[in-house]
Amino acid sequence: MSLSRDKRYVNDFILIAAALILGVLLVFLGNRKGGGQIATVTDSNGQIYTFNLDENTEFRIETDLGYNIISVKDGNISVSDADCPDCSCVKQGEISKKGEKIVCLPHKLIVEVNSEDNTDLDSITY
Amino acid sequence: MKTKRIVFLGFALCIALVLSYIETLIPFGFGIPGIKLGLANLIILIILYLDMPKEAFIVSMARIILVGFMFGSLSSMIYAFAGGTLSFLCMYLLKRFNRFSPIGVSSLGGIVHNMGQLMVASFIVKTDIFAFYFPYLLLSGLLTGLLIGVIGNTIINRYSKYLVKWREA
Repeated sequence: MSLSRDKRYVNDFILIAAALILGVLLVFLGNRKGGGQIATVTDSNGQIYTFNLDENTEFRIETDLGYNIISVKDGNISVSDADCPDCSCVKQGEISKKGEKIVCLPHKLIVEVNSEDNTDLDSITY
Repeated sequence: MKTKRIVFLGFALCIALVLSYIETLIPFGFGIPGIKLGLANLIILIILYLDMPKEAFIVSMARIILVGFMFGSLSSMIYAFAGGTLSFLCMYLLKRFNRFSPIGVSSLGGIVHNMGQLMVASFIVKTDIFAFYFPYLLLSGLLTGLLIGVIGNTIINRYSKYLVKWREA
């Protein structure tokens, strides 16, 4: 017993406070980013385009069948305009979660989100 | 080992097993898988503070094996072994270091326990869950460790003079 009891409690307090601050800080840092989502778009020629959902862009994909405009905004990807007959790809709206898809059948175009990291759901259940 | 000591450790193991069972009845998780109260660590902490580190380790390992067979599975046993050995090692060294009360020792033990389990989990699952879970497991380990530490500290301060008799018996 080299230290008095009170001194130990002070050390405890420092240790616990340090761990608490580190933990809260890491939670905030982890939540702040949360991104890393990547979407791939495959057109009727089999060409694959990759979009980072953290960067807002608009991209026009044109093939023999027609055009689709892909827009990335605030972590979501959508088809904002197309000249296909039913425009259901536009009506499918914005997607952002891993595994979600937008499909344009007339233009044989598929938009798919594949995230780099498993932050939302993963295949292992406890 | 003297008979009385064997009896004492048998009692301790028994209490640890019952605490492990009670723990399964208490819902405590916040939706994060793998979070437990760690009540059995109370017993390990008390034996450690009776200056019986070897015995504390034996009780800890025996508890993990028995709990694994009774309530768990092989995989839960692997997790428990990783967490148990790592947290024991950490608590033992921190106690030898002699700068912290049982509260601090138990808090760090709780954190390290979760880190050990997370290491095994990230080795098995092979995705980068480590970075994602780390902060949450750190906080939950701190919380449960602190809780156990406060209870353990009270018990050690009040009863160690009676319990020490078993050690010298």
